Amino acid sequence: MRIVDHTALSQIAAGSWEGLRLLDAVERFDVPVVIPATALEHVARKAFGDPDAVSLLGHIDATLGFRQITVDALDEHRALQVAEAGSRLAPEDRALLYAHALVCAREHDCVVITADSAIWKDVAPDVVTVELAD
Amino acid sequence: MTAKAKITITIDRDLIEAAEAAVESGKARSVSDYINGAVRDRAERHARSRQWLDHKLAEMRSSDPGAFDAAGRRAAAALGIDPAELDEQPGQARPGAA
Repeated sequence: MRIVDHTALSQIAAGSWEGLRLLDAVERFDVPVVIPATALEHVARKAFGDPDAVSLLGHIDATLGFRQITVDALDEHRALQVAEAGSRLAPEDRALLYAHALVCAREHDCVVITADSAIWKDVAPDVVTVELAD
Repeated sequence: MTAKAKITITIDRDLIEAAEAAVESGKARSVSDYINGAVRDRAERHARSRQWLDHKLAEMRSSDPGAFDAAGRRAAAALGIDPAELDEQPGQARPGAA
């Protein structure tokens, strides 16, 4: 199981080559991946106003074999701790996105697919990341 | 008309209630009709999505094969799968895959 964080999800929504090939591989090889709900909401918010991106999100959201797991009950205390750490590097709302993905990664012992591994290394050096970027 | 077959399925109670409500309000002819339509919608949406993605992949590959392969290697590495497997049948469903 792998976590797709909001930065990697944005790459997919933006139609980057790596993102589309990742989407293809996930569907063809039935690779289980987790997309934290916050990441999906974040990308959805950013995508509004861009019809092409909304269309792409439709593909990601409900089809192509993504086994989306929405984590509703975020561990509030740990999330705040990570948000505080992240807020030194990024705005708080962004830090919360990392916090949510971090909780997913630790609870499921997963590798995080990200387009922003540098921040991951600073905030959560114990989490294994792989880079997906242009 | 597509041939019908009888199967036994288990679905969430609230979805059964939604199907029954649709029948009662005249939006569906039967619970089977309602579920048949939902499954057909999903299958058709998936097929459209796959077709769209295959088209994008074909465009990418023809415009810059080297970059296409490099993107595939990176995606395969991110997912922990063998890049050679990824390129066996790009854009095609692997036999046996769900």
